[in-house]
Amino acid sequence: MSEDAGVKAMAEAAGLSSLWQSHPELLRQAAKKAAELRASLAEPLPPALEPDPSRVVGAGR
Amino acid sequence: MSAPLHALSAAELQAGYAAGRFTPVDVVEALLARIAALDPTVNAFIRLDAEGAQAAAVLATQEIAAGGLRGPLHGVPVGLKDIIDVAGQPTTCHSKIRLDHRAERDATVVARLRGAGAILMGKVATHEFALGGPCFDLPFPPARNPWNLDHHPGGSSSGSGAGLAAGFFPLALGSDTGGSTRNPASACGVVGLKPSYGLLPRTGVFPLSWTLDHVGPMARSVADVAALTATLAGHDGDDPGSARVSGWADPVAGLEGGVAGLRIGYVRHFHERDMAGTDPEVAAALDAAAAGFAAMGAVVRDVTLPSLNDFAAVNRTILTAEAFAIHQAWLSARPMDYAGLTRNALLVGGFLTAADLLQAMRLRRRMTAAVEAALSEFDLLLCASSLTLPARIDDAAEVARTYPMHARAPFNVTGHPALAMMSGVSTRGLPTSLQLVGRMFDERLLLRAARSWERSLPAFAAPWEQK
Repeated sequence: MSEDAGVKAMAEAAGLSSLWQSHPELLRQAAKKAAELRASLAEPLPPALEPDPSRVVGAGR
Repeated sequence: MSAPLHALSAAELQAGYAAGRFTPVDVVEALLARIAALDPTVNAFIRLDAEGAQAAAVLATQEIAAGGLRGPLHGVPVGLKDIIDVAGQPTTCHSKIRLDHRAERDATVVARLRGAGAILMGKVATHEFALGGPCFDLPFPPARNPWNLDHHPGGSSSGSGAGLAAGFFPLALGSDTGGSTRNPASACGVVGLKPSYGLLPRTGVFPLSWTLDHVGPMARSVADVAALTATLAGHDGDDPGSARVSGWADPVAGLEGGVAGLRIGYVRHFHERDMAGTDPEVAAALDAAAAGFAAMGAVVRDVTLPSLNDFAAVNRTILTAEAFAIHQAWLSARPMDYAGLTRNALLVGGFLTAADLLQAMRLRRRMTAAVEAALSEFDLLLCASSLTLPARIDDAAEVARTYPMHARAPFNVTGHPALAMMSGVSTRGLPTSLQLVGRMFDERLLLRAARSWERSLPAFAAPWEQK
């Protein structure tokens, strides 16, 4: 799948098909920024037990 | 000569009411006159509710004459960020998308303000949906900084900060998801608190990111922030993030306790190593604050937390993913009704994956544990708030460069209470700022330290004191 086809597929999955038709460049930019954000996260953590997020963040955290 | 009514704190207003020197009606009329004269250039208000404020002032004046003051907010004017519902009024979120909205009920914080006898002055500017930055392609102009109208006032609670600094109201509510209460507090030389996650109710406050959102009390003095926080705190059964806290200590009582003997951890790597480009005056003021706390008897030592860049990445990932989920239907149906800056920021969330969000949440837990560990060694943390001074509002490139340069997001990620306030005034005539961070639900100690710092600040020419 080409990079552009990947962006289109993700846009459609996100409910942004119309925007892809009218303003594809906006979505290409968004996809690029998401990739940059992903890369800025620290290295993936090793497998480990994790609690339910709702029990950590929120009431009674 | 006594200070003008628009420059008085809530506590000073109440002293005047109690002594019979003036009434809430006098105060509201003075504020309305000031707003009429200055807000055409400050742009703090989206919707000034003059009639509502006048009616509330008449009622408060009658109540105080008949039975005295019933609490620290009685007869005190408040500005509300326009993501907070007031029954019968639009909550526009500063957006074309919400121009037709009308709130059916008061937000819980608004109901608590009314119950305390506060006077609602109206709705004030925000960055669209509490995201992005100052924009000129929205139905309302962006608020400007009363210290220098050519500069931005911070955000997203831009109107709250600008209105306080302009002398339009002594108290305000903002919100804080990645620093949006503390940014305008820093830029406008006022005090802004991001309370502990879950302390203040969010029902009726338009969400940006459920697990990061906080309501943020703001004022021109630490004592007023303490009184506002104490009035609003408490469990809200309609807010799933609301905490049940037993034994929360009212911060008002301990404000003058000083900092002697407190252990303060100075997180200097945030502004010295993690991000390049910190303004030298901001850094010098932080060092001076660390020395100032030590001179007041605190034990100040450096402490290391995870990198500021790692905190920022986690905050942005969670915020962007949750905000996309909130805005997905509008982004699909009417994407061009958003400002370009807002739309571009929101769309990023459509391209994050479930794994990205879960990775960020796993990192979040580890970061929270790291801050908890630091706060087992120290009573409080001291660090930067904004790493730069506010840029010119018409310099989009400089705004985009400097807006992410801050150290506020870590404490949205971890939930700890964090307060931003002035550290001094720069040679350019704009305020510099610092941030103090406390243990979960220990707003009392946090505000006590902030009050000590406030007392030590030299006199300065504030915009709210000008005629």
